[in-house]
Amino acid sequence: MDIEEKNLLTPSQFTFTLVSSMIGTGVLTLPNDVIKAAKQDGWISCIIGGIYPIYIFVLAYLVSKRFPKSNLFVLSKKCFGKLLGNIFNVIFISYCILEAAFILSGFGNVFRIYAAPFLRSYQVILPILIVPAFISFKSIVSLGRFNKIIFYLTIFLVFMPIGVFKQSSVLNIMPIGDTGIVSIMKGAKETAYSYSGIELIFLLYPLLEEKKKFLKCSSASIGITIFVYTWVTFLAIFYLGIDISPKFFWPTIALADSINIPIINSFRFIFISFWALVMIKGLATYYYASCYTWSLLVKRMSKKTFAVLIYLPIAYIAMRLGNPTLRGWCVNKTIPYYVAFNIIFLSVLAFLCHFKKGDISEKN
Amino acid sequence: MDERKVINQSNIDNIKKLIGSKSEIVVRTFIVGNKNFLEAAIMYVNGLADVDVIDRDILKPLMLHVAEDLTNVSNIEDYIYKKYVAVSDTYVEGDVNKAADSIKRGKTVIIMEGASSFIVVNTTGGTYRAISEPHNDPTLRGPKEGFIENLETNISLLSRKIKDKNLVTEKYVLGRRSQTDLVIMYIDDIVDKGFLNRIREKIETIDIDSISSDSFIEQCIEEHPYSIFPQVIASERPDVVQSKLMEGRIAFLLDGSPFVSTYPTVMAEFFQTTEDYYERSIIGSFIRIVRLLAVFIVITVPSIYITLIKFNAELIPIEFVESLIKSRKGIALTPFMSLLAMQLTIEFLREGGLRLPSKIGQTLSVVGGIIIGDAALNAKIVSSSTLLVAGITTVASFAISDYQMAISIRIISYLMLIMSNWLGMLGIVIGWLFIIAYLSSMNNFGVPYVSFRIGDIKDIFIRAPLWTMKNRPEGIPHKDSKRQSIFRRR
Repeated sequence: MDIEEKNLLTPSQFTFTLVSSMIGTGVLTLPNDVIKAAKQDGWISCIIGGIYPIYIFVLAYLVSKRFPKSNLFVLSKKCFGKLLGNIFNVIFISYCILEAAFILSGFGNVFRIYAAPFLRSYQVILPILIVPAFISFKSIVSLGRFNKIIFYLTIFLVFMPIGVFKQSSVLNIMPIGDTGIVSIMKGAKETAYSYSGIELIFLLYPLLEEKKKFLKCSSASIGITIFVYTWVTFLAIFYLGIDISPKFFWPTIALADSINIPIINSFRFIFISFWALVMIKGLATYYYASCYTWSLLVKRMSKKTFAVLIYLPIAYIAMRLGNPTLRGWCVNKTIPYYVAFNIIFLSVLAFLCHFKKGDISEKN
Repeated sequence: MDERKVINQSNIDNIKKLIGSKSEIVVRTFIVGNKNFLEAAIMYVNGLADVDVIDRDILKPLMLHVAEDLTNVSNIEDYIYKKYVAVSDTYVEGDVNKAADSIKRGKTVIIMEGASSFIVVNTTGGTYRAISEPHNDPTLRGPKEGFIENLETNISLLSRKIKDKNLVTEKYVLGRRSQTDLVIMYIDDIVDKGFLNRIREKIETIDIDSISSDSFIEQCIEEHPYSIFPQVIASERPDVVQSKLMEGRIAFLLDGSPFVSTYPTVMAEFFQTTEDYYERSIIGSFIRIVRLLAVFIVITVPSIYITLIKFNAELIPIEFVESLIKSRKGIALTPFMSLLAMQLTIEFLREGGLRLPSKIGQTLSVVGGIIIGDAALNAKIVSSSTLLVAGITTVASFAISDYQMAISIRIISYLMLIMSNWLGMLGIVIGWLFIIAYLSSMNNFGVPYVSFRIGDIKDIFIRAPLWTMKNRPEGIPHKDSKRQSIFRRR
């Protein structure tokens, strides 16, 4: 009944893998990004920003209707020809690798500042990267199970800051909708980095075991992500207010300070330790995506080879990204272009797949 | 007539050759009938067969009570066993190999003059341990019987408990030289056929010269031979195996082993005991949570202690810092070294205590627990807080019900200790991530070793009331998912 030999994801594993492709380090800084543009209505921006993952999902849904078994790389070669298709594929791979490096360096920064100031950058980055490399070396099913287990283990983190309600002021979020629709939309644009990652759905949907549940699983994962982002941003604004929140590098972690447990001097420490699990599952997902896409591009080498090969490059990029400011700068300089690329690339791909009849149909 | 005698003798020689002429085989020739008598012989292995049964129910009727002329009876073996052998499990066997095999298993073969086949009589005897309560797995409210070394008795213990017509037994012979009997048992309409075939194929691959315990089979066929985690669970209790068969598992009964292992095994089983199910649900759940907490403590508490002392002293409450410093004054060893030394000492005590006779064991615990602990404190080898951490960890490791799993978890605890001494909190995080990553990549005969399924959680972290478990666990492959109806609302 459930002998998993087919190397496919079960619906729940698929859902949680998609969630971990979206929720990574972005959520730690998200409140500040949206407050810049949308002030106290930032949390509305988060909801509206959800249009982006929904849009990508609709594209994937249209494509999957016609090509349930082909992944992004095969389709892009079919649609754009071998050369152009491969160029787009390489850009996509670079996106996965960069995302992995961003998460890794983000993790390194946060962890070193809050939990282990005595460690050097490489001491954090090199050992922790072994875990994603190990998972990618194994199989997609390992990744799915890993994501699922960690999701359940860390779900309490989302509800933990509920304690802020005691100390926060409703004035912080008032007046609702005052900043105007334009600012809110600008704020929504800022969420793009946080929501980016949903593009992996194009790689993952052929690996879903029960194709019928694609719609249900994807909407569940997008729903979870939108909820988490909105909830965190709302809490940050509600608790810290729009003036104090930007003073923190990572306002989400400041929420953890609202929790006071006797004996435990700093709850932040525990929060960060658990949050590390969340970040690493995001990292593992991108690491896997990088290996997988490489192996699709270079057919002669297996995914396992790449799991070993890309270990050092990712660690190197992450170490070069350095401190939070530099990393933030790099993120802002690259991710918007990648998001734009992804939107255009995937839209055109979906359009071609959906409307171009005849020569590119798939034999099932 | 002479020609017939020759055939008789050649049959005896053939069987002797098949069994091995130097074994303890007994050949007794005798004469059947009072006039026109027939030559006959019985063969059995001394010690395996019950001599009383042979004398009373085979030799006596055949030698003393045959008053007819048998020379003209056709199909003589059929006639003889139907009329004169007073043992219920008796049959005619044409194949000399099978006849020889049955002699090795304690049966007696009757060879009649002029017969083409053999009469095989089940006279299996010899002394075995009586059925008693398993020492290693006692229960307060459950049945007190345990498996023994005799295969037939073990099968009967199970079939007594499961009267379903679909209970199937399949027989294999393992070991080139030991030729040990292995029986697999399962319930035909619950077990997943794909999984069953996989297990059968695995059994076929075993080529070993001798098998003396069920753990040999386990080590021969397990999927991750170098894994730190045990992958097959065995029990001495028929009631445990009964409930596992009901979930679609396959039981391995090996002749000569009082442990019955069940396949597939998932990780959660190592943290379940029979007592959980015999207690009421609330109590069972509480014990289960305590046990899982113990796992967490064994793996994490020593490493958290090292992290706090060595790297993150700011996290220790200020009132506590003072007493901590006082207790650490004048100790040359680092916290890591002293903790490691204490943990190792406890490991020696535990390993020593395992094999000592119980009377000396008490001395060991007094010397080990009280004297060494006290002396280590006074000699300034460890601080009292380090000793406390080592003590808590050890006590917690005893709460893990399965011994193999407890050892595995203690090994992990050492690795975590080293990691935390190197990287602090990051070491603990990496350690846990790696455990999760490793467990999620582990398959046991194609069945995930660890799986989170909403339907199964009620029997992993807690023990929900029996009547709520209307479906069989989803983590185990099976054909029939419905266990029982919802016969009770609340």
